[in-house]
Amino acid sequence: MPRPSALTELNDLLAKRPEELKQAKAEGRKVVGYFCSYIPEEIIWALGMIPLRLCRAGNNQAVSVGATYLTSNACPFACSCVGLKKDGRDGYFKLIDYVVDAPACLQMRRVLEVWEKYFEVRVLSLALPRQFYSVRGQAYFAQAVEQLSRELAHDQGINLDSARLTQAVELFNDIRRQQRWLYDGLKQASFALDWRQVLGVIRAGLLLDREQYLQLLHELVAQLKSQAPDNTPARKARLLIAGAMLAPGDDKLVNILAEVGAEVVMDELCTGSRSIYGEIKQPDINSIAQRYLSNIPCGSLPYPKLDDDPRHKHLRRLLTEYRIEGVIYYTLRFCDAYNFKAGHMRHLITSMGISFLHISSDYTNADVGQMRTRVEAFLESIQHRT
Amino acid sequence: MNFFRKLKFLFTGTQLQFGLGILKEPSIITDIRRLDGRYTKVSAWRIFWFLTCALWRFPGIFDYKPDPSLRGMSELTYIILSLEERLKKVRRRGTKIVGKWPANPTDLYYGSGVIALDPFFAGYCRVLAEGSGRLTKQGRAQLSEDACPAQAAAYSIISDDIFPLDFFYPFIGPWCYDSQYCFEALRHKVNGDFGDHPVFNQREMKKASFEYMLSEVRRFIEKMEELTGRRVEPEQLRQEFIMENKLRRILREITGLTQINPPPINSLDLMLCVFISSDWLGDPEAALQTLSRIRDAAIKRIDRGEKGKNVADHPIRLLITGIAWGDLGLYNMLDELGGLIIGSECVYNLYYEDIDTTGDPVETLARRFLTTPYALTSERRAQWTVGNIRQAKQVDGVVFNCNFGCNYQAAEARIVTDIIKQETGLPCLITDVDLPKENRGQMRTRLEAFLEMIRHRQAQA
Repeated sequence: MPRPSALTELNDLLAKRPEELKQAKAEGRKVVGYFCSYIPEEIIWALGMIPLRLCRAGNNQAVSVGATYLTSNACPFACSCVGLKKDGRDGYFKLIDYVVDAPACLQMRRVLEVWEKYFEVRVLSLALPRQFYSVRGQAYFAQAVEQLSRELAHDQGINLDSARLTQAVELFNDIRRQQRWLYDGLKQASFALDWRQVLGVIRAGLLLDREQYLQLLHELVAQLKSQAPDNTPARKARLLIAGAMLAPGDDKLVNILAEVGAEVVMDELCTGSRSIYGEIKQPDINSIAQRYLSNIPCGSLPYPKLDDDPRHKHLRRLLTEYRIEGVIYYTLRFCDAYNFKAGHMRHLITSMGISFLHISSDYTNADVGQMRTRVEAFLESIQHRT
Repeated sequence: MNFFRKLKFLFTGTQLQFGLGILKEPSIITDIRRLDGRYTKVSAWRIFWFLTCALWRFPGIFDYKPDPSLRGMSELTYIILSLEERLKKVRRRGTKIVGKWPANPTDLYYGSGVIALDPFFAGYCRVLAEGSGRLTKQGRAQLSEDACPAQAAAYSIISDDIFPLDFFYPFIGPWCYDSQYCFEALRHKVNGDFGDHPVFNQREMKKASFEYMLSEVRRFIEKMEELTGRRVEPEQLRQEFIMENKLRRILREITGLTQINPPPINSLDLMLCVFISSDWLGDPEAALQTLSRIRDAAIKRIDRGEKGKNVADHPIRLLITGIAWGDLGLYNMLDELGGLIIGSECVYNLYYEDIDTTGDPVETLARRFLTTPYALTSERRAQWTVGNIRQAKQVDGVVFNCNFGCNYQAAEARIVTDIIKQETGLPCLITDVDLPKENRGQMRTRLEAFLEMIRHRQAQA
């Protein structure tokens, strides 16, 4: 099946993006970096700044450098963020004017403290409550978003314009709508894109100019709608990757899955499908705050009751809708938020008769062979069961 | 440890001294008395017998050498080792036991009519008492191989019903990150909820954060009222503040004694005293009596010009920051090498000042939560520690310790030590420990070198 031309365009734009950002900065626009998916991009965009999610991983040299600031007991993503900033060569990391931080993951909060102290990066904080599910938490978060928008507006020397905010809300709602359409497509075996391509599209959206990105998304969706379905019968086990994140560059597992011919059809990751849900109902701060806090919660935020854990409910829905036969739960070492949840995840998934594999890794290549063997054995066990 | 070795230990050395020490005078410490109004006096014989039997149950205690000649240490050992059976006993009488995490003020728990249990502290005590890493390894098998040893042990003691819990209601804030996930991992075992402590309530959000914290404290109290079926009156909380302020004052006094020459208390005894502030071992009353005895005995030593057992003549005084060493043998080792711990930044958070007893107690607690130095940014935490170092008369060096797997301390180690070095000029050493006894060889070398370096600096100065 021919590759949609919009995908090629997307890749071309990504290659040009650092240069484009440099130019935008030269024209006086500010680039606001962020790590966490709780940051309301709408507000940054509405204030005329460029939101950029700093999601770069997989570089073990950067991890080693970062570990000299955070010690080697820290998560490799956290270490690599420090290492990349220290190194100063990454096309995106060097362009940001400041960082907005919502400390869902407290290790990342410390990363930003290191950035502030040792690399003199300005950090604005968005107070994020842990009780994302409570009315009090919602009210607190709305105040925090209001405060952040005031600070950013003050920094820009402008007021947050309601017309521009409306435009921003429509833009990002539409982006998420198109992204959902792509992920919905993966439910069908005949969909023209595979999961890895969809993930690539989502990842591009973290970096590209959002208006340009939306335009390309529309083109892509239109092209896919006009294409005849891929009727090659699928015989492989349908897999879902869950866990914390698969940031661009952390491709070890994805490459192994491609090499062994596994068919991933969905993810439940912070850098993947988790960010596509939820509509902002009104173009105001309260609605924006509500959408972000009531979206599928990050594993870094605890939930006190096992029987109605919203993460479990969401995952159960995905497993059914995407007819999943096996789940690979991918976590990074020293990421307690996700590693500690592996036991309950295993129970939840296997109780639905679905196979489960937990892989905890880092950015070294030391475990590639072992990981491949485990994935192969996992696939074989699923095939044996079916 | 085989039977004959145990027997040998029983009738010789420290353990016998412990036993005889306690028999010299009748003990009046209470068995858990709180909330149901019952007081049980524990006789000296009972303590002697308990400690004797404990040798079989807890072979790990052979590895540590508290000072048996310091009056009160036997009682302290008793209330540490008897925690499990005392909790079970009081629970049978219907009193509720509620789980907390380190840095959560105990006043709120006891003042609300329940017994506080910190599984982090209790679990690690159990690991030390058993003398094996069994509970940690078991916890790691369930949580993660990268889990902090104390957190993994905390998981095991609750999961295996070693310590009883009726409800788990910790306050979760920007410290001990993994504690919130350990709490979550125990959801299948024990019902619970958590109080949300706003992360870094920056200046602009101060009012909103306070309101939020206040509502969290109120919610906790409501839950405790529901759990116990009794209303929590403000006066009850205030009385608890008064009681626990006494404990905090005694701990500050004991900590301050390390500044006196010669120091009347050694590193291990000091740390055993301060460690219990995490939950007062289920019985603040007993903790108060025990700590008062230790303080009084240490003061008598000062009058007599006696120093603590194993303390060097002119010890190198170290402040331990980060998380205090959980491997108690390291404190003995440090004393042998000529060092002395003068306090722990981590535990000091629990008793650095009294709680105000004049205002609205709920508001006071909310304010206390938000101003706990551990809840601040690394930089502000470091500045607080610098202030404490400046207030102390004698500090020769700083050790920053991280437990293996502790993302929180590890991530702050460099910022905190860099600021301390810059502001005070003191040498800092970052250590990393895991299971007890695992890396003592390496630690000995590192501590020897660190102390040597300080001595060299002092000689040059």
